[in-house]
Amino acid sequence: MTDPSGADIWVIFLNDELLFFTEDEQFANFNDVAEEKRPNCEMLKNIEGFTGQQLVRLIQDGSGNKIPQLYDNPPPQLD
Amino acid sequence: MSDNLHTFNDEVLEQDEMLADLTALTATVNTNTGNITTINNLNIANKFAGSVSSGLKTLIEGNDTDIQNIETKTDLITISNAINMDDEKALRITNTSKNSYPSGDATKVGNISVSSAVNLNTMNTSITTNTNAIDAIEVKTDNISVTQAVNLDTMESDITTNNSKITYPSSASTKLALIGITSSVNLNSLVTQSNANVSDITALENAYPRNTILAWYASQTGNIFFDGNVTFNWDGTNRQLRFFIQNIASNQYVTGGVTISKYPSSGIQISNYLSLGVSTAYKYFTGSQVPANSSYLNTTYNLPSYTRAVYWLQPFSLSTFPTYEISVFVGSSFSYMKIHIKKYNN
Repeated sequence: MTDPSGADIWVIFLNDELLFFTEDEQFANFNDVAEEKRPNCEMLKNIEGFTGQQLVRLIQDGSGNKIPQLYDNPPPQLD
Repeated sequence: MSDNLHTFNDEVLEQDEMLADLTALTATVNTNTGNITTINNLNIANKFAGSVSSGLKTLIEGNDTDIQNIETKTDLITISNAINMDDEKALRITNTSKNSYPSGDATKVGNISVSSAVNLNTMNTSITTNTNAIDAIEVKTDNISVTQAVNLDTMESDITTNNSKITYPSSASTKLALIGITSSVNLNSLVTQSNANVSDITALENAYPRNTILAWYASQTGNIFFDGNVTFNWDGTNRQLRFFIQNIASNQYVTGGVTISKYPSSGIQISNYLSLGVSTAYKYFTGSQVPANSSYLNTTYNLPSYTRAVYWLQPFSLSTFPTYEISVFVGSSFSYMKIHIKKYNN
C-alpha cells in the first residue's frame, strides 16, 4: 500500500504498460477493456512507490519474472 | 228470794230445757261415737308407718327424694336476686316469637358473608384506627394531582434511570466541550435564521450554477461526483467521462453529448438522447445508451493528451432534474486533469 491516504491501489497493465489504476475495488477488473485485449492485461495491487502520479510498466528481472518499474512522465512530443 | 229459789213453773220449764239439751247431747255423743268407731287404728298406723303407698312416711321419703332431685338441679342455678318467673315466662314467649329476623334484617344478614368468628368490637376499634389513618393519608394525597393511572413502579424505575443522568453521558459531554460560546444564544432564532438561509441558498442555487472543480488522474478509474441525481465516473481505461442516473422517473429521457478539442484536428462533437430512467450501468456521452443496463463505448471520443472536452447532460423534458456541464482539461493523458462540473438547478 503506497497511497499516503492508506487506500489500496489496483494497477492494470496492457501489454506491460500502464492502462489505468483505481482506488475503488469495484473497478479493479478488465470490464472496460475490449475483450480481445483482455488476455494481454495484468493487474497488480499496491505497487511499492506508485501513487498515480508516476508512470509504471512491467519489466522482466534477471529471473524472467515481471516486476513493476516506475518512471517519470515523459515531456510532450514536439512537432 | 235468792237466785236459787224460783217458782215451780220456772222449774218445769228449766227441766224441759234440760231434757232438750240432753237429747241434743245424746245425739252428738252418738255421732262422735260413730266417728270414733270409724277411726281405724291400723289405717292410722299405716298412714304414719307408710305401709301403704299413701302413707305419710312414704310420701315424706318420696318428697325427700324429689327435694333432693330439685336441689341437685337448683344447685346448678346461680341467682343473686329475686326473679319473677311469670315475667321471665312472658319474656321467653316474647323472645320465642323472635326465632327469625324481620324480613328487612334477614335481607341484610343474607348479604353478610363470614366464614369464621369475627369480633365486632375489634372490628370497630380497627375501623376507627383505620379511619384516622385514612384521614391522615388523605391529608397527604390531597396534595397529589393526577388525571390518569400511574404505574409507580415504572416511575421509580424511570427516576432511578434519570438520577443516573444528573451528568451528561460522556459522549454528550465531549460534544458540549467542543462548543465554544461566550454569550447567550437563542437557538430558536438560529433555527429561524438557518431556515431563512436555506431558502436563500436554494434561491442562489437556482439563480447560479453550482461549481465543483477537482483534479483527477486521466488514468484513474473511479467516481468523481455524486449528488443523488447522477454519478459521474471517469473511465481511466478509455479516458472518457461516464454518467449513471441515480434518481429520475422511469419514463424520463436524459440527453447530452460532448464537444472535444484535440490535437491536431479541429475537434469533434456528438450529441443524442442518452438514457431512459434510472441507470443500472455507467453510460457514455457519445450515443444512445438505452436500455438501463446498456453501456456503449465509442473510442473515437477517447481523450488523448492536450485535449479539452465539454460534456453536457440535460433532461429531455423534466424541469426538476438538474442540468450539468462538465469541462475536462487534459494535459498528459497519464497525469492530472482538471475537471469543472457546473450544475444548473431548475
